[in-house]
Amino acid sequence: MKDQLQRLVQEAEQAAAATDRLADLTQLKAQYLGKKGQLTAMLKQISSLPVDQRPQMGQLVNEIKQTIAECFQARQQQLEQQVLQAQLDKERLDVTLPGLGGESGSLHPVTLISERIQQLFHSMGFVTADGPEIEDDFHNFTALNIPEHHPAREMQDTFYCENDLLLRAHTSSVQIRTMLNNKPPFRVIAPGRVYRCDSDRTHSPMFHQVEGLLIDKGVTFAHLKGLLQDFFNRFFEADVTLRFRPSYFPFTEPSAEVDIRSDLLAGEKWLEVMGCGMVHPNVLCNVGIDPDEYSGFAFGLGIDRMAMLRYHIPDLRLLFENDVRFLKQF
Amino acid sequence: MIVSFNWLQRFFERPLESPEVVAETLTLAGLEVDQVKPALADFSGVIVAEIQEVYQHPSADRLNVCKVFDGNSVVDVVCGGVNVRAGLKIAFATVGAVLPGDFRIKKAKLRGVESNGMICAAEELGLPPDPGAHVIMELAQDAPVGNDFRQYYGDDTLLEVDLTPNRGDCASMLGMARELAAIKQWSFNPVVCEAQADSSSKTIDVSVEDAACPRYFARVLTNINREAVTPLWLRLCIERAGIRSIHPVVDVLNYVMLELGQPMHGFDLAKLAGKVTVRAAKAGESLKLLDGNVIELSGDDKVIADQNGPLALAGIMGGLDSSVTELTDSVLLESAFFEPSAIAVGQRRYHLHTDSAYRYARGVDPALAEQALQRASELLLTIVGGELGPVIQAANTAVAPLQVNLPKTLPTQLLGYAFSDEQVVTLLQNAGFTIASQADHWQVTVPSYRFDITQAVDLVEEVARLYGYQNIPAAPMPAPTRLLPVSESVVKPIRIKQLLSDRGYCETVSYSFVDAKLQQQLAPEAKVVSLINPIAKERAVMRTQLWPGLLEAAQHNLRRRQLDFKLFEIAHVYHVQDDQSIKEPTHLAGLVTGKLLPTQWNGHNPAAGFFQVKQDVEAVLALNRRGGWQWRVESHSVLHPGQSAALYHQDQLVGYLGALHPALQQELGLDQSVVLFEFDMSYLTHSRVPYFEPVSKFPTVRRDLALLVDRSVSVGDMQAHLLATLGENLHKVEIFDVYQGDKLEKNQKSIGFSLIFSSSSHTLIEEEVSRLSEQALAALTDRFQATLREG
Repeated sequence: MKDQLQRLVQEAEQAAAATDRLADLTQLKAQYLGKKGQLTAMLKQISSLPVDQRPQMGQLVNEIKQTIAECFQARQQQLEQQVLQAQLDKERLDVTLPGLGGESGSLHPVTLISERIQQLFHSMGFVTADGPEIEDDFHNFTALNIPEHHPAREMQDTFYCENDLLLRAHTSSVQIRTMLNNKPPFRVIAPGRVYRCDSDRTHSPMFHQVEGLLIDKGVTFAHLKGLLQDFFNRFFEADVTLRFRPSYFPFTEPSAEVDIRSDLLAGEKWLEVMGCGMVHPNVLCNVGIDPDEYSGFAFGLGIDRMAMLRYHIPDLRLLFENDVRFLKQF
Repeated sequence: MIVSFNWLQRFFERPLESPEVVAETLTLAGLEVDQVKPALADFSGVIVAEIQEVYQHPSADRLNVCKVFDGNSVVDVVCGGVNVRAGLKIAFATVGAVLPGDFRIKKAKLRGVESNGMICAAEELGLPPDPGAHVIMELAQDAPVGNDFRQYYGDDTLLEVDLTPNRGDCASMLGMARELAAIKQWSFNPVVCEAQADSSSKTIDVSVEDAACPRYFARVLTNINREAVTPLWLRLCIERAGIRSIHPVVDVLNYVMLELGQPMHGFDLAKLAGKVTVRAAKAGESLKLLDGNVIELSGDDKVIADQNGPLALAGIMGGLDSSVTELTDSVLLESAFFEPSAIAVGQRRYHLHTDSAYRYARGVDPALAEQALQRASELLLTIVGGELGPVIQAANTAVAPLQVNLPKTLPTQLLGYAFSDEQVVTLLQNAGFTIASQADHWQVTVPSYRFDITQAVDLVEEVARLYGYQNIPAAPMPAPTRLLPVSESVVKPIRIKQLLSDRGYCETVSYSFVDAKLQQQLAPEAKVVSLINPIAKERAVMRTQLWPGLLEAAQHNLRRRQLDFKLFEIAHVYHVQDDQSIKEPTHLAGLVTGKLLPTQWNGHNPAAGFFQVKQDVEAVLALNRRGGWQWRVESHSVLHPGQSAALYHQDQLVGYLGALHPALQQELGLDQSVVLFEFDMSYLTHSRVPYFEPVSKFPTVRRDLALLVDRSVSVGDMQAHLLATLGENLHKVEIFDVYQGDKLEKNQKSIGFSLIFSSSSHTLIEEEVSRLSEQALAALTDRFQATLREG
């Protein structure tokens, strides 16, 4: 019986090694170790042995059982490994192929710049305001201290509509609406479309401005200089040199043009980017604010101009052609 | 305003710094210098010479050989100019000269004759053609032979100053010199206008009948020399300022305008009939202007008239019939002060942007009228001769100088920089202001030429400007003391933009004004705002919707073989209300065409259709957490009748989604189908703050129903009906299949619904689910005649 058991081990080992499929192996394992398997049959024979031999033989059969089980276990693992490997081989991808699905689109550079400007000013407590683009004479001119026959009306060739309406020539009209409808102090930023009869490489009949207005007690020209210096540094993420040049806008006094210069931009050249100034006392009076109590400043910044500078866009007209090869770059 | 640097220098004893430095100084004081450029083109080696003899070239009919005297010797020069003659003074490019364009003059043989230099035409030196339009430039007989031509011809640098409208006082050389002196705290030489004595008693009756002309001086100059020519120095002064040389009298008057800032006019005395009056025009009167145009005058125009009618549009432009010509031998000179507003009105009405109107509209120093008349008299006597009549003072109203009180604290209070009292006083005095100090303010007398200074704040600007904006230190702006409100129940437009951009859309910005025809095609019913002065015929009306811009963008891109794209725009549109008022709602619109995706290597890339775009729209709608959206089958004239839907929110029309109507697509020249949407943003941006709803602890149960209905039935209606009838236990209705085709009858379609049931209180048992399914079937059968699909 001992020999018989030894043979059984050898036989099982050979059979396991010869089996390639997991299912066959399970079946084979049952032939040896199952309830109706050969080893179970042999275990049953033990009862027919003399009593003194039984424990020894019982132990041997159990050892053999253990050995065969381990043999099948090892083979099973081997086969499982092979199956997994085969699966992995089959599932191998060319991972250098591009991803499937759609590409992202893009936001217009005017939106990117407008959002950036707003975000910067929001951090200084400015809120965004909006106003109509078809304006009346009062909000676009008169309330801004530009009386009917003032030469300043020649500066901006305005588009006129029927019924004494016009397309706003600047976002400064939003200043008036804000101040008329609210009480000071104000920190307001108003981005939007503006219109002037002009069209070439650097002028478009429609363009975008952002108007800033700050009215409070004790606000000075020095504050205006400080805030704008801060703004341009943050906007360009660089040290930008500013130059405040006296200029003329009927709605501010003193008035200034702001020129900037930076190694990031045109180098040695001054670039005109903004008009600004202390809000004219006549404008404050026009909207019922006492200029002896409150002072403040306003500024108007060309969004398209800033987009051109920031993104190195050479021609303003590219912004409004909506060529997808242009749009997708942003 | 073009400023001659040499002319400016004549106002100062001290030598000025370089033109570039002066330009910088002016710019930083608010007189922006756009350009600094040489008055003469780049050339050298050109001298003044004289032609002594002219021979016919021995072997060329069209050429001459000239003996040219250059001051030292006589050389032979071959020349083709027809006006060469003995005794002519010329601009002569010697051998070795370099002309504009790096053109070098060398010794040359022309058809066998040696030529030692070149006789120049004006154009060859980059100059305007000379007044006689001669081929060869003819210099004055007194031109000094042998002198360098550049020196003779006023080598100079020109500063182009972009004057802001408030600084009419700087529209003259005197004004510029005065300004530079104020900035630099220098002294300068004023222009001396000596009174010129009368040499005849000739005068004319002039009366002023209009308050817009407080000062009017005139003078008769008789028997002028008709042969006189404008001297070179004066011609160069006016030409370089951009004024054409016309006639010595006119040239002198223009010169005085440039020098002092006083516009003047000369009438041909022989053309005047009777008394001259300065008055308002009468309705029905007309005037032929110097430029040949005839204008019909209106009652607010101011004119100079004689007994036959208007002679000139006061302060703006003279009349042709009374203008000075080469036949004129006596003139009436005019030097007046007109109210700026009176001139501005006429200038705008007739679009006459003359040098005179430019100055009057901005304000001419009333003190100048008489001085300028004397200055012009002096120059005219020298240049055209004649006899001067007495000065006619038709109006000489005293203009009281303006006084402005400047609180002593105001400069510091507004500028944020502590100016001392002396600083303020010195700066203002240098600029010509007279100052009397009071306890808490200065009483400032404004010089008569400063029309821009009317109140205290103007003086503050003056202080800042003269001190230098760059010298006022910046101060940090104090931070706000309160946090800003941040609403969580709005969807910001940027969120929608980002969502669409992430889903493959490119944001566009298109013009708010569109072609009237396209606007009409897209919205035939809409009332539009039209522009009176559009930039172009195709941009004449304000759009009532955003589709025109997107369709133009589609045309642009398709023409450039860009075939697959998704575009959107968020912008105002302009709606005329019944009461003619205008509303500007913000709209969101999109356009999708071509393949849905970029090229896919797995071959799965459908063309973008209605439902793919609808999904993008639904993603936008989902942002605002409100629900209540309803798609209705509704046609729109622009859209495909079978592929268009209207979006409603609680019975309010929000907008449309659909394929562009194939007929319109063809009309617009688009080669491929296009899906469009446009919605009123106000519905999309209202949101709500989320409010937690308990998640059911009990499992959901799914039951599928395959139904047959007539093709005309809308699945959306069926879905809505199910949700409305089955109540809270019907959690969701999904559509897993839609089929119409050969396997069904012609008018039928099959719809597969997945009904997902749940309860918040218990696990649904089989009987409940079956009952609910039956209810669902019954509801659909009842309302839509749906039947269960067999098999």
